[in-house]
Amino acid sequence: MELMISKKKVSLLLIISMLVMILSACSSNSNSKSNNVDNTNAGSKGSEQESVPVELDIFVNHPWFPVKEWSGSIPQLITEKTGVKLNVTVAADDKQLPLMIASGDLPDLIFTSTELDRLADSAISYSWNELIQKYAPDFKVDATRIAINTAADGNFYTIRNNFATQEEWDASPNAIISPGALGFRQDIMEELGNPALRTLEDLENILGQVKAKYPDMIPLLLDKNWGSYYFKYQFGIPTVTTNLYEQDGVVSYFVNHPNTLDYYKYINRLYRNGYITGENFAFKDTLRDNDYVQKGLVFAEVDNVNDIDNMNSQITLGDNYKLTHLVNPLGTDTKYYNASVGWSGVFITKENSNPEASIKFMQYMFSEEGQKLGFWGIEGKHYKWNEEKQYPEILYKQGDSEYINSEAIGFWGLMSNSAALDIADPNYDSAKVKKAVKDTMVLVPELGLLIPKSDSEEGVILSKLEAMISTEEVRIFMANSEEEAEKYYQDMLAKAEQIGLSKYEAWLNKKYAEVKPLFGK
Amino acid sequence: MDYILRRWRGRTLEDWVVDSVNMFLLLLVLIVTLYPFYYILIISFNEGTDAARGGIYFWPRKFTLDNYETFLNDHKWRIGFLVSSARTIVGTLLGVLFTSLVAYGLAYKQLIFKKVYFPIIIVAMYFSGGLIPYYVVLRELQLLNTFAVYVIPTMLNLFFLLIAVSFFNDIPDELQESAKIDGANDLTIFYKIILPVSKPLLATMSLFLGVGQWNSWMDSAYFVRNENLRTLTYRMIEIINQSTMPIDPVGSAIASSMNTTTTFSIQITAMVVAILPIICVYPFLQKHFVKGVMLGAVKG
Repeated sequence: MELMISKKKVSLLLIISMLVMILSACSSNSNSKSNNVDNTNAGSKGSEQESVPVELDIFVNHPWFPVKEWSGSIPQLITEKTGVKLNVTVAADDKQLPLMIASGDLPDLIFTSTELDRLADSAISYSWNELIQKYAPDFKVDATRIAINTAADGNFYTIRNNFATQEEWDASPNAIISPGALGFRQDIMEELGNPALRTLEDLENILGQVKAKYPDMIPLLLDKNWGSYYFKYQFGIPTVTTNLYEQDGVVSYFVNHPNTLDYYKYINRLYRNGYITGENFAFKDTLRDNDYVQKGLVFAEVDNVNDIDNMNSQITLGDNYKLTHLVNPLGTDTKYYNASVGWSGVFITKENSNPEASIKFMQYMFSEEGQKLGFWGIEGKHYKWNEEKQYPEILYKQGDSEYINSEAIGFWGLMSNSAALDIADPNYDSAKVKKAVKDTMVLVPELGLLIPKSDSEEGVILSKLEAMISTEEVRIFMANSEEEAEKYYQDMLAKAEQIGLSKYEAWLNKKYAEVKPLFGK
Repeated sequence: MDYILRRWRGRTLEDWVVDSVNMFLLLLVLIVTLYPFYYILIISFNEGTDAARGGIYFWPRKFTLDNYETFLNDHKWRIGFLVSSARTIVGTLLGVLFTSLVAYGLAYKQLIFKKVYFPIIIVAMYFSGGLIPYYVVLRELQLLNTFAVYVIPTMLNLFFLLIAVSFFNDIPDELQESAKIDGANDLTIFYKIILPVSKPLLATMSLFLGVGQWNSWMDSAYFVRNENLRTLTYRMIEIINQSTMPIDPVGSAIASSMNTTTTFSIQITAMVVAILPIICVYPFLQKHFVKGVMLGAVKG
């Protein structure tokens, strides 16, 4: 009898668990089916912009993207204007998109800054030129953007954001870029008698005084990435958007730049004098330095200009511990090489349920109205235009990430924004830093196109070069004398040559000759 | 009590020294093991910006429940909790049942083609087709975007299959023979005789499969698009990802200009919310690991 009951129990358990699985499978299948039906129905009505919006699945290949839903007043208004509603999936890691591409299981839209080569393929994505011709003939894309986004087959499969033509930069004099910056403790500066800080030598002197007066303090801390970007910029070495520079018609890699050795020697001197700690070169992530600053252990910090602002907003020890931005550049030969050809773009995949609605949606996002709505928000609610100084004045609390994320301010604008749309409130110190760097900007988008495919011979050389330099640089920085630093630098050049630097540079110059005419040069 | 007192009275100096050193070392291991959990717990109860100042080691400095409120008020986290619980219960149950059933069959001494099955299992255990073929298989089986993708592929755990086979092999044949004489069939023997004496095995399997089910986030990220099927650990990864800056400089400048970082406290709270339920299960199953249920099962 007992045996029978036990058998029944086990069978019941099995039946229940099977039912749960079958039901869950059915329910999600029926969900996805009904979605598809909705899409097709809405798709046919999409062009008429009726009340039922077209639903498109978008995969955002940026794991840091904090907006996970198409909600808030900005997305709502975009839906009203375009008749498109997005179902958002944000990548959990960088392997997810390659998996989707390899399996062929693609969403309607993909917003990404990586895997661009693989997605720019007629088997995977619709070309925009084809869709524009068919569904949106009035969508005008300027020739430079077409040139920099055109794939090897002559089509363009996306238009990347964060690029601006010379005309756009000229038309927007207050537009800024977000460079590396130096922030320092004003209270300590005052105790030192506010010494002048106009040159790289001044910085060395001040750091020396800080070290003598506050032996427990770290005089200078460098962010893992922005530390080197900032000092390279001071020496006029290409950085951030490109590692290449052109001199007398010849394109070269930054290690060969005439100022590179001076830059290495300078950092080495800072290290040897004890102004930078050895531990600083071992930082594995970009948040490590923030901890030190927030604990008030650092006199000066080099980081991205926005990160310094973000850090300041998190410092609770007192206003004295906050960092003051150094506005003026320290180098004598500063140049910001802007080789950006855009950063991230939207691809309309071949699995797209409504290519017509998709390209029209992108047309709106690229329009002036769409860019401002996506990037700045709703005029009168999120910003108001300051006529006098020509900048958008924000109407919410700066740094209120909860509100910014819930309203999706700025995030969807990244699908299409021009770099010249980034205009900061000039009343902020950080905006002055950005403006000062922008004033030294040299536009070289042609250098931004000189990127070899990762699986090509040059691509392999480049990745080997980058790996080698990242280890060799630390040796140079931590050398025991200037002679030793110079020797290590020469060793690094010899190793670069062994890896194939000349071959890579030859490819660069060949490719440069091909892309130069695209920019009328 | 008497026994303990007698033991303590008869101790030599050497015993004292050895025990003290042992205790000291074990205490150290205990602290090193438990302190990280304690640390994340106190940070999760501390106000976010204040926690960023550091210096919190033993108690929250500015106590708050705000961090938890953020999660408990968010329906996504509540759904995540339900999905994670459901997959853990159903997945563990099916995994243990199915794996032990297959193992019982394989442990049968007269099983034909026995020599064929084992190499297949060993090969499948060490080599896999990789993520993409696995994805394609799941798609062909219509498992993508369903709850079943969490529990069906994990029903047969090859590692525990081998352990279970060797465990069942050690059970004396006399147990089964006596049941057979009493008229039980194979299934009855399995459920009434074998499973009850295999509690340590079942508990170990349940714990490992359960923890595996609870902690798994990759299947939720890769094989599911329905937001209502996301697990709790997937939500945790989402929160942690928000603070991971892109590697490329342009991307990192854009991300930092958007000020996307979440406070350390929120990240930590996400971890606590995600791991606490499974930690609570541990003590109840732990005793089964050390219990020798088989001792004295057969006398003679």
